[in-house]
Order: sequence, then structure tokens, then C-alpha cells
Amino acid sequence: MVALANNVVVHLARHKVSTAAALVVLAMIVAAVFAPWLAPHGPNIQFDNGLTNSGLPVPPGRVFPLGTDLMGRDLLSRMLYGARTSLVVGLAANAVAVFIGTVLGVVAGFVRGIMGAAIMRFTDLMLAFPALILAIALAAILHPTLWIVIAVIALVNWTWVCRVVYTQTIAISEREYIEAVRSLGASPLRVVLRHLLPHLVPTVIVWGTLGIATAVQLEATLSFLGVGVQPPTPSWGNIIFENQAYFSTAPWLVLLPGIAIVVVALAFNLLGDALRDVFDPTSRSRS
Amino acid sequence: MRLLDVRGLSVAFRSAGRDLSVIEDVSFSISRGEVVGLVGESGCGKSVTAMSILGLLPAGLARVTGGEARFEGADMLTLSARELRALRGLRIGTIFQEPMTSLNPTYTVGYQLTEVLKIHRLAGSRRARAAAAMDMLQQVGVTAPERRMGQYPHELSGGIRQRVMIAMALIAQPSLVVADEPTTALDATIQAQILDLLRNLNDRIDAGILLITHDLGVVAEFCQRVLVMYAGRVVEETTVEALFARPRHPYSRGLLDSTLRLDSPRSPLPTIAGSVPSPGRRGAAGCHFCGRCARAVARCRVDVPPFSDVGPLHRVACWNPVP
Repeated sequence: MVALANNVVVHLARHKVSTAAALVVLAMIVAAVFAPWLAPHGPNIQFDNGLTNSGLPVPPGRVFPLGTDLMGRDLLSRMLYGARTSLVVGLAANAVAVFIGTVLGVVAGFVRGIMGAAIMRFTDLMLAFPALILAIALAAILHPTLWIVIAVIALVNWTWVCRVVYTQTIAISEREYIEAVRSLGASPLRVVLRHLLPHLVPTVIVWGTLGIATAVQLEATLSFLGVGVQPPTPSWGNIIFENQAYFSTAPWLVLLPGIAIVVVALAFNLLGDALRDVFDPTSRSRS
Repeated sequence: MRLLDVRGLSVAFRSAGRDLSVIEDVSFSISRGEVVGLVGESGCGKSVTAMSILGLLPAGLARVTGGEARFEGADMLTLSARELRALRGLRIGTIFQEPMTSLNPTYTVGYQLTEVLKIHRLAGSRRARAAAAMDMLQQVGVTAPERRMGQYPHELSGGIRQRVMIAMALIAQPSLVVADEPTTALDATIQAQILDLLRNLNDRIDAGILLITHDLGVVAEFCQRVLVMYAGRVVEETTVEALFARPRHPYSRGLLDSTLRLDSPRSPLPTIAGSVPSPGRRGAAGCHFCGRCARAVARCRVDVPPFSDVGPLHRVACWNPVP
């Protein structure tokens, strides 16, 4: 495991794009964790001087580094706290998704037969169903809170992990050392826990990282549509949602959170790709 | 009493909605201390025979369609999964062909050796398990067992890995050992060492050994009795001496003729024309070998030849055996 972590660090340091991706992710984590100390103001304080005399948001300046939003709140502070929301939702939703996907994928790939077929057809069904519509419907019915949003995203996101883990499980269970350990009298539970799961770790780490990008985007989308994280709790998606009317007069209110979403999603994607290159040298596209 | 007694074993593979018979009516037995060779070309059903006795046929793909396999009195084919697990590794040891891939690359030799003891709760403490594992490594001729215990399979040579596999198969002192091509992946000198080792160990634990191989040299070296399999049926069963002195089935004859010999004249190596028919193309009637057989007579295409005695401890399934 130490060697593995070492490999990851060496690889990330060697590739410029991967280094940049890792730094962005790191920066986001720092921003989210230290938001209360980094933010110049509270996220929900409406400043008297936060609006111009004509009632418009204040452009970026000395007091408000990134300007203010339509209610006179500091945008930088809201975005730092929004990073918290995005990270919590992204990580938690994806952790749940990875757990569901891995359990179902391993069961389907190891047991196979009718049970395996049933699980995989259900997964196909979920994959084919438009994720956004499902998420909107669920969020609308269940009255969105942070935890509901996490659950909804997890429910939409587990399918990819499940498919990948399923094929990987089948590939591994065909290996001879699995048959060998079965010939020693190992129970199915022991075969799965001791001899199959450890070989799935790289796959799960890679797809887990890639999935965070999707989860962050989905959270932003749901919040933008008003069925995600509810104001006044800031999230990058609902900052855009709240301020969309000011797009022409105060474009930074929409552009900055939008850029943040794109950059972070991209960073998690590139980080996932980089990890895949570390774990599976044969898939290495660039050297 | 016989250790293993297989009667009329038949196995079918499910393919495109229908059952294809791959093993038909296979019968044989093994006693303690006896080494029985199971020979034949690739695709004859040697490994499938062994896997079905161990209850390790791929679920959903293959199933036993008939017969029984009595091991120490219990029919392996009717035991529950749990009962089979209790026998595998404990009473029946298995040695696989590929020492490169049959060990889990993510665990140390020590972990994999002691795992057998853990599964069957054979040694009380971690320390006792480690001691037993090291003792076993010593017995299979692995030098510096303390160091090997902490090594991973990729750090070991093929010969050492196969010794580790043998140690895993024998550590619980099984009464039956199934060795599926145990030396095929090794080079000739290591092959001889491994066979010697198996023989010596078996003198001590007195197990019955079912040795699956396509190498008649290994059979001559190591076995007492031989079963020759062709296309899912046993075609000849005899002692090693009789097989090499006077094979009666044309297929056995062909196998022996196509073995390389150091003292043979410099002529092209004879071969058996054609290849083993795949399960879907064997046909129900007649002898499966008749299409490749120079001695085939009209009856061979119509009736399945019965397995009949042609001498003491010598049975053959052929309408027109080699004289």
C-alpha cells in the first residue's frame, strides 16, 4: 500500500497535467475545509454597501474581492462556503454510489446466474433512464435537503461503478488463483473478501474519482434548477440560479461559479485518468 | 476399501440452450498409495473429470448428468457445497498446472500456506500455523523457509512456486491428491525434481494420487496405473508396464508412437491424423475415435464399443484392438 501511494505521487509529479489537476483538487479541499478562516465575510451577511445606489450588485473591488450578489452578499465568501457544499455532496454522494455499485457489481459478477442477470438488467435500466429527469423527479417529491440531494445523486451515479466492477469481478474470478483457493475449501465469502476485493481496489479508486466529477456537476445542475441545495446555503449551482437575472449587468456572478464548476469537474476527471494510468499501465495513452 | 471410486461419471456443458456431453460414462478407482495417470490430448475431458469430482465445475455452464464418485464412502457428486468445502483442501489436495497464476499475487507465501490451516481450523494459534507452514516448506525442499514465508509469488522462480503449490496441497495431509498437469509449465530438469518430490512426499503421507497429464514420459516415470481418455470416454485402462509394452487401443498406440525417443531412427515423427472432435461433433453412435482410426471396421461407426477385459488388469474399449 505504501508502494502504491508512492507510485501515485511519483506519477502525479511527473505529468504536468496530472500535477495541475491534483493541485486544483487540493486547493478545493483547502478552500472547503478552511472556508470560515479564508472567507473575508460571512456567507449570508447582507451588506448595506453590498448594493449600489441603484440596487445593483457591486463589481469586484477592495472590500468585496469578487463583488457582491443580488442581495448584497460577498461572492467570494459564498463561493468558498459553496466549495464546502460541492465537496461534501460530491464525496458523500459518490461514496454511497461506489458502495452500492461495488456491492451489486461483485454480487452479480460472482454469483452470476439469474441473480446476476437480474442485477445487471436493472443496472441497464437505470443507465438508460435519463439521469437528470430521475434526479429532478426524486428531488421534487422528496423535498430537497442536503442529504436528499446526496441520496438522489448516489442513486443516479452507482450504475457506472456497478458495470465496471461487474466485468472486473468476472475477469478476476476466472483467474486460476481463485480456482486454486476454492480447491483449498475456502468459502465464497472468504474468496470474495480476501481474494477478489483487494484486486478491485484500483478500479474502485479510479471510478470513484471520476464519479466525483459527475457528482459535483449533477449537484450544480440540480441546485441551478432549484431542486438541489436550497438557499441560503450557498452552492455553486444555486449561486448561478439566484443571480441568473443579472447575467448582463453583473456577469461575474454567473461566470465565476460556472468556471469553478468546470475547473473542479475537469480536475477530478484528469485525476481519475491519471490514477488509471498508474494502476493500469496498459491503458496509458500518453507517456 | 477403495479411496476413490468413480462409476459412470457423465458431464454435460450447456451451450446455446442444449446440453453437450463432454464426459461419458467414466469409471475408475484409486486406492491409498496408488498413483493413477489420466492421459489424453487436450480437450479429452481430463481436467473436467477432475473438476467434477472436486465439485468445482463452473456453475451454470457445466453439470454432472450421471454417475457417482465415492470418496471415502461419500458420493462427492451429491454432497452439499458446504460438505464439499470441508473436504477440499483437507482430505483432497489439488495441484494446478500454472504455478505462475495459481498463487494470488497480492499475498505472501506464508499467508497463502497458512490460509489452508485457517480455513480448516487445523492449527490453533497463528504461531502454530506459521510453524506448520515452515515445516511444510522445508519438506518440499524450499530453502530458507523463514525468508520465503514473507515473500510474494513474483519474487520466486517457477520451480519454487510449484513447490509452494505442492506444500499448499499437502499441508493438511490429504488422502487424495489431484495433480492437474503439475509439471507441464516447468522445464525438464525442474520437472524431474518435482516428480521426485511428489513421490517422496507420498511415500510418507500415503495418499492416492490422480495425475492428469498429456506427457507419457511423466506417466512412465511416476504412475502405477494409467487411464487413457479420448473425447470424453476412457478407452483403455491398464498398468504402466502393459501400456508401454503392449497398448491395445489404437489411440493409445498412436499416442505412444508419436512420443519422441532418443534412440529412435531419424525418421519423421509419426502423428495421429486429425484432432479430437469437439463435444458437439462427436455423434451419439459408435466409437468417437473411428474417424481417425486406421483399424476402424464397419461396426465402429454404429455401436459404442464396450469396456472389456483383454488381460489381467487390462481393459479396453475397442471393436478391433491392436493385437
